[in-house]
Amino acid sequence: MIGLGRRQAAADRDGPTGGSAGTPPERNGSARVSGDRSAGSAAGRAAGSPADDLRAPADRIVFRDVSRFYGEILGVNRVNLSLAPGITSLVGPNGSGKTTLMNLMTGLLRPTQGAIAVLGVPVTDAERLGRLVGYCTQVDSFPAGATGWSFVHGLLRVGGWPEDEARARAAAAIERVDLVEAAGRKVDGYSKGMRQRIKLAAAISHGPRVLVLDEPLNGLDPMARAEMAALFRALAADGHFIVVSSHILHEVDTLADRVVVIHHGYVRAEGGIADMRASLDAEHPLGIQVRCDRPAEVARRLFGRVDVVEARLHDDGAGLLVRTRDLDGFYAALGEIVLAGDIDVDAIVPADDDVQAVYQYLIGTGGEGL
Amino acid sequence: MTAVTAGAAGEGRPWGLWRRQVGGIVRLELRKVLLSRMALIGWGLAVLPVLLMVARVLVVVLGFDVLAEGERAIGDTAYAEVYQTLMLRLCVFFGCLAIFVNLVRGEVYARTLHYYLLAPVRREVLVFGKYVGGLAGAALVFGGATLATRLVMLGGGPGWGETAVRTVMAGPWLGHTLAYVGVTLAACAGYGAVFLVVGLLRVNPIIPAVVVFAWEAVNPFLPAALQPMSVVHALLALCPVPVSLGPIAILGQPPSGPVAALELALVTALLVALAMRQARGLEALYGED
Repeated sequence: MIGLGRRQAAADRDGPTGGSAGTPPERNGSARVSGDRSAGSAAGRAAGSPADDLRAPADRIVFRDVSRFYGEILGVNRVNLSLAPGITSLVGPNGSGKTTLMNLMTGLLRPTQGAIAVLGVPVTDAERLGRLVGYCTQVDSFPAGATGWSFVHGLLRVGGWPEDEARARAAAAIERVDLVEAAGRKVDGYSKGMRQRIKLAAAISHGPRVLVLDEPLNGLDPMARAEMAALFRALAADGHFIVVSSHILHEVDTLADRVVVIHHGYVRAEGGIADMRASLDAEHPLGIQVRCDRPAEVARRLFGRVDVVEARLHDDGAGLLVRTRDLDGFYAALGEIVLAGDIDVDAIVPADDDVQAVYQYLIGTGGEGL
Repeated sequence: MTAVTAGAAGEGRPWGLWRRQVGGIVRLELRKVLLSRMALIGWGLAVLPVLLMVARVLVVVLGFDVLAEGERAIGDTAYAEVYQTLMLRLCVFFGCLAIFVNLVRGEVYARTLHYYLLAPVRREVLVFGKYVGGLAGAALVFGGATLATRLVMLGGGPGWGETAVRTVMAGPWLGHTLAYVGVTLAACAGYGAVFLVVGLLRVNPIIPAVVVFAWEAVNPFLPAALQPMSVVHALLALCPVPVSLGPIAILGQPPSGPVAALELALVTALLVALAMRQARGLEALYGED
C-alpha cells in the first residue's frame, strides 16, 4: 500500500473496492482541511513519496504531489488526493483550478510535476485511460457539420469499436440522455441543454468506470437536471467514480458524497461535507435555527450551557439562532425544553452544515464568486 | 458485445484494434479534408492548373489565333513545366500545407482536439490515423486534379479528337499519366509528413512553412550535397519528363527513380514517426485555459 494517509489506509483495510457497490462509500469519512497553503502542502508531503506512484491502487483516483503551471501562471499546486468511488464534487471559484484538475485526471493536460493514476492506470497511458474515463468538458465546440448521431458514433469508431457495437452503444447512450428524436439533426442547431446532453452521451457511450463532468447541469431545465442527477447517483451506486464540478452549491450538497474545495490552485479541504463542517467547529461553532413562540426564554435557558457561544433573536420575534460547540449536548438540552411543555417549538433547523457554509468559512465568500 | 481490448500480456500488438481505430479516424478526417470549409483551399488549389489547361485548350478550340501553330498542342515538355512549377511546387505544396498542418492544429482552432485525446486511442495511432486520412484526402484531390490536367492536355491540337485517341493508345501518354499521378501521390505523402510535423510544433506554422517553401524553391541552386535533403529533389527525379532548370541551376547527379522513391519513402516514414513521437505529449490547450 502506498502512503496515502490514514483515510486511505482504513479504506484499504476494508477491502479492494473502498466500499460496496450500491453504497456510496465515505459518506461519513474523515475530512482534511488545510487552514493555509503551507498546511496543505505539508499534508501532501506526508502522504507519500514519488516512488510510491508506481504502486497506485486500482480502486482510487490518486493525485500525488501534482502541480501544473501554464508558463508562470499557477494552475494547481502540490495536490494530493485519493478519490474513492461515489460522487466527488470539486468546488471553488472561477479560476481556482477545478477544470485544470479535471483535465489532468483525464490526460488532456500533463502535470508539470507529480503523478496521477486513475484506477492504477497512469494518465500518460491514453489508450487504457480512455477506456476507463469519460469526460464531459465545458468546451462547447463540436466537429463541423456533425449530427448528434455522427458525433457519438464517430468517436466510438475512433475508439476502435466494430461498426455493429458502435451503433448499439451510440444508440443506447443517445437514448439514455433522451435525444433520440434529435440525433439526426446537426449539433450546431441544438439548444445549450441538448449540446450538454449529447456531450454527456459521448462521455458515457463507451461505458467508462470514471465519469468526469465539468459543470454538467449547465443549461439544463429543472426536469433534465433532476434526471441527470438521478443518472449520476445511479452510476455512483453501481460503483462508478463520478467527479463533478458545479457552481450551484445546493446541488453539490444534495448530489455529492464528498467535496474537494479548491482555491487559488490549492486544495483547501476534502472529505464528506458533514465531517468537513465538523472539522471547522472550533473556529465556526454550528448554528441552529429554532423557531418558537418564546425565543428569549429559550435563549436564557440555553445560555446556561458552556457549549453555547451565541444566541441571536430573530427580528420577527418568532425564533433565534444558537451557536454551539457540542451539537449532541445541545440537542439533548433542547429536547428537555420541548418536553417541559411551556414553550411551543415549531422547527429546529441546522443553519450552516451545508457545503455553502463550509465554502464560506474556507474561502471567505458565500459562493458568489463561483 | 465485443470487448475492445488492446494487447493483454502475451497477445502481442493489437493490430486489429489499431486498424479499426485508424479506419475510424480516417473516416472523420476524409470528411473534413473533402467537405469542410477548410477543404475549399485544397479544392481551389487543385482546380487552378486544370483551369489553366482548360483555358489554353479553349483558346485553340474557339479559334483565337494567339498561339503559333507549333504551340497549339500541349506537348510533353510544356506539360512537364506546368506540372513541376504550378502543380507540384505551388498547388500540391500549399494544398498539403493547408490539409496537414490543420490535422492537429485545426482541431485546436476548432476547440475539438479534446474529443480525440479522450478517445481510448494511443496518441501515436491517433496521429498516424490523421496522417493517413489527410493523405487519402490529398491524394483524391490532387491525384484527381493531375488526372484532369492530363485529360485536358489531350485537347488543343488540330483534329484534337483523333490525335487524342491516337496519343492515348500508342504514345507515352498513359505511362506518363500514371507516373505524374504517382508523383503527385508521393508529393502528398512527403509534404504531408513535413506539414504534419509542422502542425504539431508549438509555433506559428507560417514561419516553418515559409522556411520549407524557400528551401524547396532554392533546391536546384544548392550545392549537390544538399540537394537530396528535400522532398522536391526526389519528386523531380520521379517525373517522366525532365525540365530545364535554367543556366544557374547546379546540376547534381539526379537519383534514379527507385532510389528517389526509396529516399522519399524513408524521409516520409521518419517524419511520420517523429510526429507520432511528438504526439505523446499532446495536450488540449485552447489558449484561454
